[in-house]
Amino acid sequence: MSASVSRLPSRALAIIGPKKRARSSDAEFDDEELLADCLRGQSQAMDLLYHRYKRRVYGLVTRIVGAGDSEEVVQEVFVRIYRGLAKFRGDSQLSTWIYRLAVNCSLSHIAKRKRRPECEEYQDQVAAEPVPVADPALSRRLEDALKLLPAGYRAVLVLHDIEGQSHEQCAEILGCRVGTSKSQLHKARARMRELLSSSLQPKVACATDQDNVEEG
Amino acid sequence: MRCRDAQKLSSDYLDGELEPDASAAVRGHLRTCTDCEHYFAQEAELVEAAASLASLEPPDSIWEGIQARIARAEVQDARGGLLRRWLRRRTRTIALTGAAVLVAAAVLVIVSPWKHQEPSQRADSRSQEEPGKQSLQPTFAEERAAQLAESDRHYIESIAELRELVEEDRSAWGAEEAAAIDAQLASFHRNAIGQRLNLTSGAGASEPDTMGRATLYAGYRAEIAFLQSTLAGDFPERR
Repeated sequence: MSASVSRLPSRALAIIGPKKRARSSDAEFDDEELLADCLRGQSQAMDLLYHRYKRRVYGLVTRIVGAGDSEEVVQEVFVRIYRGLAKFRGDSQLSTWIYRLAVNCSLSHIAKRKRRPECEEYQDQVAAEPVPVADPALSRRLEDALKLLPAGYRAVLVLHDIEGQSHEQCAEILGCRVGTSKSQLHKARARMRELLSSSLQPKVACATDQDNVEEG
Repeated sequence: MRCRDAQKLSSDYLDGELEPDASAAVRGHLRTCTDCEHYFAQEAELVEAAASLASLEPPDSIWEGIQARIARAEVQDARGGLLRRWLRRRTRTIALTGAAVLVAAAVLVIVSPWKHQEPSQRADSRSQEEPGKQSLQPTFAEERAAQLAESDRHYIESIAELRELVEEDRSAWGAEEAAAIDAQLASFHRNAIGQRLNLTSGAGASEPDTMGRATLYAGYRAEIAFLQSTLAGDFPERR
C-alpha cells in the first residue's frame, strides 16, 4: 500500500458521470406525435420511426447477437414495433419500449441459436493467445471482447455504457431492479477489464492480493 | 477503506451514483493507494472507450426486409382473420350441436323407458299415444342420428376448407416445416378414420357409443385448432 498522498490522476479521480443522450422534452413530444401518426397508418410516419431508431436498435442488437444474425433480429424487432404499436400504452417512453423489444428479441434469439463451431473456435483462440502489448485499437478489441461476455452482462453494458441509458431506464428495459442493473454492470465491467487487461495501461494487481488495512 | 471495498464501488463512483460522503471516502482512498487508482483508471478508460464507440449504420436491406415481412403478415391477417371469425362461429355451432347430442344420448341411455321394451311393445305404445301421427314423427334415435350426421358434416367441411387454405401457404414453408405439418395432418386423418370405423362397427349396438363420439369430435377440434394456428403462423417450427 502506498502511504504517501499520490499525485492527482485526472482520470481516476474525475467522476465521469453517466453518458447522457439528448432526452429533451422536445424529443419526447416528437415521439408522441410520431406514434399518433403511425397509429393513423401514415406511411411517412412509419418511415420516420424506422430512421429515428434504426441506429440505436441495430447497434444494440449487433452488439448483443453479433453481426451475422443482427439483420434478421433487427427486422423482427421493427415488425414487432409496427405490429404492436396499437398495444403500446404509453406508461413508458417510446424509446424504452423499443429498447425492451430489441433486448428481448436479441436474448431470445441467442437462447434459440445453436452453438456454431466458429464461435467455439473464436473463444478458444482468445483464451489461449499470449498477453499482447497495449493495443492502440482499443475500440476494436472492446467490440471483440463484448462477444465473450455472457448475454445478460452484454445487454446491460451495451445499454448503459454504449447506448447511454440510465440505470432506471436499464431496469425498466431489462425488467429488473435498479440495484440489479448496477451490480450486473459492475460485474460486466470487471469481466471486460479481465478480457482487456493487456490492452489497458497500466497493469494492476488483483484486489484480493492487496487487502489494505483501514486507514485512519 | 480496504481496496476490496473501494473496488466494489468503482462503477457507482465513476457513474456519479454514490452519495457525496461515500464518493469522498473513495476519493480519499484513491489518493493514497496507487493500485486502486490504477484499477479505477482502467475502468474509466473502458467506460470512455465504450461511450465513444461509433454508432453502427444498418444496411438498406433491413428496411426492405421489414416492409416485406409486414406485407406478408398483413396478407395473413386478411386471409386468416376473416376465416378465424367465421370458423369460430362454425366451431361454436358444431361444439354446441355435438355437446347437445351427446348429452341427449346419455339421457337416452340412462332413462329411456324403451330401453327394456320389446319392439312390438314400442309399436303398440306409439299407436296408442298418438294415433295417425306415429309414422310421421321421427324417433329420438332418428333425430339423434340426423343431428350427429349434421355435426359430422360441419366438422368435415370446416377441416377440408382449412386444409385448402393451409395448402396455399405451402410454398412459404421450409422442408422441415412442411414435413412436420404433413406428419401432424396425417396423424389427425388416421385417428379420425380409426375412430369412425370404431363407431361404424358398433352402430348396431343397443346403446350409443357416447365416449367414442366424444373422442372423434375432440380429434376434429384439435385438427381445426392446429390448422388455424398454422394459418396464423404460430406453428412452432416457423418461429
